[in-house]
Amino acid sequence: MEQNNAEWLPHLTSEVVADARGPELDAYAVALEGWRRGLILKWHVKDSEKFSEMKTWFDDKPGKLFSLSLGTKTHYFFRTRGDKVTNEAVEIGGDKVKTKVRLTKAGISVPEGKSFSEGAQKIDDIVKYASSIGYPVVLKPGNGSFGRGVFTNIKDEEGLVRALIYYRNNEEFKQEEIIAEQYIPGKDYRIYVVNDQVVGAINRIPAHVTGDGTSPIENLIRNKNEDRAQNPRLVSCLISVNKELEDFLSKSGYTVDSIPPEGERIYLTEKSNISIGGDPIDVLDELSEDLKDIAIKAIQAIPGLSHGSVDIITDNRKSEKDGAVVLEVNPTSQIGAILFPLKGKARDIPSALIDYYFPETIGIETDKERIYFDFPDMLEPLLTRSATISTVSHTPVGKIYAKKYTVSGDVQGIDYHRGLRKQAFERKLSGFVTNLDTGDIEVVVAGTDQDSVDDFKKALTDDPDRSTVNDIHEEVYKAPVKVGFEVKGDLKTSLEELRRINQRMEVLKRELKVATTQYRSYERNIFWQATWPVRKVADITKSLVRLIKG
Amino acid sequence: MGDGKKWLQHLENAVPKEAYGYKLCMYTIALEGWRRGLDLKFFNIYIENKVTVRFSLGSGDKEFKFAVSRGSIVTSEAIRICVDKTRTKDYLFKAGVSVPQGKNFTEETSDETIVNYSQTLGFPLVLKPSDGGMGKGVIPNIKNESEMKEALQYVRGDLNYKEVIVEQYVKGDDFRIYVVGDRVAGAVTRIPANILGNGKNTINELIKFKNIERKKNPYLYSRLIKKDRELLNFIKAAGYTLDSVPEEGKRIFLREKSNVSAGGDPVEITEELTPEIKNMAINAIKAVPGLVQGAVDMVVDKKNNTGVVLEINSKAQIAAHLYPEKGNAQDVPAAIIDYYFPETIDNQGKKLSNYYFDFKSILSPLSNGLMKEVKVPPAPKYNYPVKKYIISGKVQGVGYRKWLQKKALSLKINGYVKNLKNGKVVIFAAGRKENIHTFTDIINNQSPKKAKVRKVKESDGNKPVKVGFEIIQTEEKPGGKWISKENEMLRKELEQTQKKYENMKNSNSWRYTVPVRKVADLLKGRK
Repeated sequence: MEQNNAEWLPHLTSEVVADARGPELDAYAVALEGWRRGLILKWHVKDSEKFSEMKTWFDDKPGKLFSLSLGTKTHYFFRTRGDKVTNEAVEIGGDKVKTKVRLTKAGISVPEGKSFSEGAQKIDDIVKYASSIGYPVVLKPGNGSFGRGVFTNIKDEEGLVRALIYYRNNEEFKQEEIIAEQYIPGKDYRIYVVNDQVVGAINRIPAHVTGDGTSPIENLIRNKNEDRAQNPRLVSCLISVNKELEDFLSKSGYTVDSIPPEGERIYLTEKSNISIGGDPIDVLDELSEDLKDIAIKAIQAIPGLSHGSVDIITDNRKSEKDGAVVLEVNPTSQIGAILFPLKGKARDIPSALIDYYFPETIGIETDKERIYFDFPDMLEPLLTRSATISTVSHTPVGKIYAKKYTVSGDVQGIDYHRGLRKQAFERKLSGFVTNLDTGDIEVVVAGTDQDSVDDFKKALTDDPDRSTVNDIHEEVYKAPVKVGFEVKGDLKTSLEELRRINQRMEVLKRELKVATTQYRSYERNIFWQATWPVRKVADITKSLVRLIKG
Repeated sequence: MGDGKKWLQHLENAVPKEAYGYKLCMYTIALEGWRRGLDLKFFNIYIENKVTVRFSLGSGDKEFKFAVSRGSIVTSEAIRICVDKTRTKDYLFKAGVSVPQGKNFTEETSDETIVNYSQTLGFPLVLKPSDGGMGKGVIPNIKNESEMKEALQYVRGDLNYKEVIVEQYVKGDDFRIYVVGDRVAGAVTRIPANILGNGKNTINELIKFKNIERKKNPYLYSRLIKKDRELLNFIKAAGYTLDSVPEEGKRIFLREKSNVSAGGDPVEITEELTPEIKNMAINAIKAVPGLVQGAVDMVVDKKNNTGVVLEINSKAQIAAHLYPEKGNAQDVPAAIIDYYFPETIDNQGKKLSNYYFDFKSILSPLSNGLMKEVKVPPAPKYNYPVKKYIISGKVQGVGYRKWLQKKALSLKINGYVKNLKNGKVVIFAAGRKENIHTFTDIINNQSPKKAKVRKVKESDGNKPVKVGFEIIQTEEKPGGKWISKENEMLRKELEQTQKKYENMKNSNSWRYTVPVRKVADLLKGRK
């Protein structure tokens, strides 16, 4: 197994982001940073306030739209993108051709390429063009993302035609603009720039496993997925064993049953996308000034873009400076991989973003690691549309003191616990009370005023009508605390448990899907073998197409 | 229960359980404003070290905050005057409003001085603490010097209220009259806990029946009649026990106290007030500068059509006017909104009685301190009718409700979906005509993959819906258990699939075909 030696941010642990996944993880990380600095944080439903004018997508489900305010100043955010990025910039970033035009104008190298509208219908034109720029080439849809429909490293005309036929037979791509461009073999970087500063950089390594001399590739993948499931960003990007993967393996003479020798790295795809299993490795410290410069210039090349990510490939046949080409600029970039890399240090993009939008809050002294807020609870009323905007309670800004009191006696009554909540409020403390199986309770309180935290011990014995306290044990509490005071015996806690179970169920469902696909692919193979003579005479192109489709 | 009572139709089924009890004022006033198209926000604030939930209503630049029933037009000076009974009386007296004569005595005054004063004022008298609330420590109908001494000993000694008021005891009915601007919006009186005999049931049974009735009253649902010692002694004095069977039509009082919390009945009497009494209440509110609304506590002598004002409560509860046990409910929330937002008076005709808003998901994060403020979605523009659908077929445990919720939200349809015990699913929905049309079409012709719809029955909903679209969890299937079960099933399915897959890989036929497959791969150009 590969060593996981990543250093994540102490204030952004998996515990803190446990309830934020996918694009919500990005939003939560940025929002949390602003809120922790004392900004007013509001979560919005679609089209609320300024969002009706901002370019946003897939926003029916809340958790991606939020605003941060300080005094009369308010900024609106869609995931990681704030309102300082103009709609025009978003539009250019979403269009690979327009991006290239801008980059070229600014003197930045881009892979030589050309766009063909309804490309699937123009096989001859594209073949001609490909031979003019020379193989290998890459084909990709003009508006694709997550590596969908991207064919890299097409080595010859036959491969090119195969890919184009795939587009032609696929509803999603058959009318789509298709880009053909040079394939550049090299190292893949994603660099995040905020306000002319490089603040994060990762190298994305295509999905792979490393042999141990005893396990078949399939088990290595399973193990790797188990590791990925521990990573807040990668849990939603597991490697799935499918036809495409098996085909790729077979190119290097492997099947999923092969047992690679110890230490050998086996690639499972050529695409470096994290969403299909790529590994994010932090490389900020070793990034050359040249690459940084290119990334900054690329962002500057797009009018109205002040922060975002730049995808760069450095051609391994040339020097880094001459061989760097910019593939893509993303104004609404995911940052999860930079926050939770598989190797190296996490880089605090949220902090850089808040510095940029709210420079007034730079250097504010606050105990970031110790306080956060319950994300699903904030979104719940928005989810059912019982509310359109929900504002998170103000964070305690400053040094946090926290104590855990373990109380024994007759202390598990819900009314007693609700009384404790009131007492916590009166002292402006956050925390929770929870029942232990032993019959005791644990009460955690946290706040910026140490006296209030210490004084809470009195509150515990303040309610003899509804409790009998025999003993109180107190200790310093170090774990982060959610704002507000939660009575864990309440309905809410059961609901939370439900949500956890649900999450586990989602993971199971995904695993089941993977298992089913594996099973089916074998079933299909058997069928295939039985019909072998028939297929032998079948049109060769047809079977090639099927191969690519997976 | 034999007593005539009528509640407001537009509040029927429109007040969620979470708003019952002391939150009724907040909810019903907010609802009235929201239904008139005002922006509604709930928020929590720290007041005197306590977190309370409050709300605001507004439109455009105009916004008023509300504490219980009191809006922010009422000045803080007015609030301060009302809290101080002596100051209130001074203002009332100066404005020519009848008040019982009396005097306030500070801590330093001796009991003896107070007794002397009592004699000059003349009995009967009342003794009460200067800053007591909720009737605590009030000793009415003190008839002579020795009773006064006893009362002083109790209030100043035992109860430790050092500062007291002595004033004339006025006989009559206690009315609480709610005034907004120059209009009486409601008036209630209270009668002590009581039951009405039917010649068949025992007092014990009649109390049980009465409590069942009270539970149906959003205002009284937690204020039941308790069979405590005080009650037992009281009926015993009248010659009854719990097992007595009172004759038909005989009303038996169970307590002397008329407090609603002690089981008393609120009775709406606005329609019985004479113009003179109404004016007196209105003048009382006007007498306090900066006060535009409030509850005036009066003792009214009906026979002579006179009365005195005892005190004014600026932050009164109004739920008794909405849910009386006798009399016609009065729309106090409407009167308050009329005053604060006169420009919306015309909207009343178009009242959105088919809609209300959720309180549960708003209230709990606000009261546990997670949420600071929450904005309720605007009320729909029109009072679209509510439709009801009953879906039968294979519709439970197949993701039907989640699927439907998505469809409903994207069509901006309000309502809910719920599993029924008989395996069917019920939907309540309201929205724009064309959207409801599309929605009906979807219900009839589409379903998630695993579901099979056999029949759809459509009818009128006949009850309001919450804005938003909710999946209501069925009670007898507690979410946790049900989900774990589904989880377990999934795990089994997963295991089975993995097993099948392992078997297949290990099967002989598969092994034997390896060379064949390799050839096929070559042919397919895999290498």
